[in-house]
Amino acid sequence: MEEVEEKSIIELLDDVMIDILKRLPARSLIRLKCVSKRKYQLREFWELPPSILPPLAHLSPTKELAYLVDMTVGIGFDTNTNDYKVVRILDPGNEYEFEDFDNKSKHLSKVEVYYLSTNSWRKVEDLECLIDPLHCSYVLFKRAYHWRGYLKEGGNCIVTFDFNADLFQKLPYPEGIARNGRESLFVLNQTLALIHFTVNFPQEVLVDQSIDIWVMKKYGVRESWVKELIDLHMSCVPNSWEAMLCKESLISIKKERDKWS
Amino acid sequence: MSSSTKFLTLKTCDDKKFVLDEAIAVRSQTIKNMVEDDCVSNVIPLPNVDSKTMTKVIEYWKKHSEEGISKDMLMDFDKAFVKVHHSILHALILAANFLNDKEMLDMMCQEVVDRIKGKTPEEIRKEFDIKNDFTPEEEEEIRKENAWAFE
Repeated sequence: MEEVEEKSIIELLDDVMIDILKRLPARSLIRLKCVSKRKYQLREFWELPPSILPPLAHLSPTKELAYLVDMTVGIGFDTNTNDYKVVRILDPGNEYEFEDFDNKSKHLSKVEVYYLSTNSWRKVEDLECLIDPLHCSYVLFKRAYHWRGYLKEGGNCIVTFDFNADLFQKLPYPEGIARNGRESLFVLNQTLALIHFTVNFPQEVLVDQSIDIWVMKKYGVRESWVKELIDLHMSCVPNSWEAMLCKESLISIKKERDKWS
Repeated sequence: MSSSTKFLTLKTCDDKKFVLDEAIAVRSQTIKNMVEDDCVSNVIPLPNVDSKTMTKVIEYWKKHSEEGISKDMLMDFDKAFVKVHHSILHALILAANFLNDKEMLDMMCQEVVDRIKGKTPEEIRKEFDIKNDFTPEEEEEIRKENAWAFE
């Protein structure tokens, strides 16, 4: 038995080991990788079919796959069921006027979730809001996607999709935001936040002195939205706006003119 | 058992012989195939299994072939059966794999899974007597890269 004693339990035959790895949640697989570099060369298992793969570090928990004019796609990994999921939000069409907010809410996004484990799509019927791909600022927070949405009955909301809970939810939007600007979701000190830029039409120049930061102090609670513009410590830069926010409350917005002209 | 009970002789890698009822031995798909192909004139060699491990395997087979044994009793038996040192667990998995006993292999693999699940890397090392061969810097880095797994 001496020979066996020297060998690690993990140095089993490949097909046995794969069977064991398949049954482990992603979290355990990653921890296993951190046990020993000599014995846990799990890299070869990385090449297995994705359905039994743990999430790659950069894919965790979620990662935007693509951003198209008429479609928003996000990929994520459910660590409970070891399943990859893809969320697809289809634009209902360009029937609404570009800046007609009231009209926007009449169109609802078509949302679908794909499950790699079953290779099937699920239509999300009851979301009843519009996730506007053109103004679709999103952020990954609490293992969920957060998009800006418009309610069917009018008004703004934040639409979330939690990959582990497999659940869409609507979060309240801060009240009293001026309409003459653009908003982008981001994460500020582990809190969901919203940055509001005033845009000068028609050039759509972002003006740096008219930036409001709203912070949702208590996740999901409407009343907890607070407007603040102090002590900025960015953990995440608002995407798609190329906003660069420095530590000392210094904000500068870099704008790519050709993007907007 | 009927009067036509046949016995097979199994020979482990350390030259120990085990005489076993064929009806029990065919729990091993490997042995079953050999029997069906009529290539078991005398002794079946098991070059990948030692006698200590084979004793455990036969103990498992006999228990699972007992007539009138209740599900609960089998469950208790299985529970106790897998509570062995990881080196024995390792040998049993290799044996179950070679003998192609899916049920037993499945149970042993699940035990490994249960011993890994929910444990930190330190705990996994302790469980399986694995030396930490990372430098503190390397470990720090790999943990940082995978921070979400340690939340």
